[in-house]
Amino acid sequence: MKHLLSSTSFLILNKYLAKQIGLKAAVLLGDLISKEEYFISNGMTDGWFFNTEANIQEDTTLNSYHQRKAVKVLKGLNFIDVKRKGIPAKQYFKINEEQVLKFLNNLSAKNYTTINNNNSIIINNKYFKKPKLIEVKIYCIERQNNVEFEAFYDFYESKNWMVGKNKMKDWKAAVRNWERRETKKNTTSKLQKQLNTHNKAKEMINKINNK
Amino acid sequence: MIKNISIEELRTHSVDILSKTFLELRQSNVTEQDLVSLSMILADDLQRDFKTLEIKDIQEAFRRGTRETDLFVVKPQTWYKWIKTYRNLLWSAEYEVRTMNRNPKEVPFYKDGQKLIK
Repeated sequence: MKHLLSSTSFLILNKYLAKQIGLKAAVLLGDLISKEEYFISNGMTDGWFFNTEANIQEDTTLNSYHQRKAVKVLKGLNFIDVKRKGIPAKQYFKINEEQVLKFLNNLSAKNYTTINNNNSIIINNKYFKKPKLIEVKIYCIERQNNVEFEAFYDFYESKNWMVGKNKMKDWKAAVRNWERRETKKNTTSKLQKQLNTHNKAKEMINKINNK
Repeated sequence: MIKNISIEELRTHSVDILSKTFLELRQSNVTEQDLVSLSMILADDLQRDFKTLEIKDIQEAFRRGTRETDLFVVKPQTWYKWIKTYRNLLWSAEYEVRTMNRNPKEVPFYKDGQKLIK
């Protein structure tokens, strides 16, 4: 009776995660996280802990084939690292907590859909928050796009962050649009390119001649 | 005449001629390194094989070549064809005047007082 009530008798599963990465991968991740907690409480420090296929099967009911598939998914998403070590070799896991949290944060920022009278209604929970100048600057530096971030900021600040008649929805997308426009502006015509090539070639020839 | 022009000057002329040719052929994917290399080859070719011609003749040969032939890959083979075709015109004109005694004014491409033998 006591065993039935303990947390080890239950599978803990994040529904949103299961929707995104699949039920089996989510079950395995939940199991691995609970194993990690067990190893941490027993003095594990480097983050690596082992778990055997038989053990996982016993805890999650996933057979070795499904386990391998789930591990592949989790590895692909960078949620876990896996290596084999020791004699006989055991499978060691490491949970990338940051990656999992990042993924869950992204999920919570996504739109949710509800069903009402057979119509699907998209509830947009992503409200636009106008950026600070420093945020725009950082984003521009990250993208190395040479967009004049101050000009961008002042332009939209003067327009109350409106794009036409609508309120801006994503300032990063707007920055990317500016970036594209700047790139187009900077591309020279074919003729200009050829003239530049000619001038450069002449300079090079003069240098060769002067040697 | 080309034989009186220094190789340095010839290279500069070659850059001009080839740039104009690429422009006329609408080939914009030529880099400055390509242009310099080709110019050096052209200058060398001119000094070796076309030293009795004038720079103006070479310019005219390229002009006619881009307009009157289907050759569009600018390479030594192409410009040899263009220049030789133009040189043949000059030679024919000279033959008409000197051997056939035709009136120089009636013979196109005839250039007075010039020996065109290589």
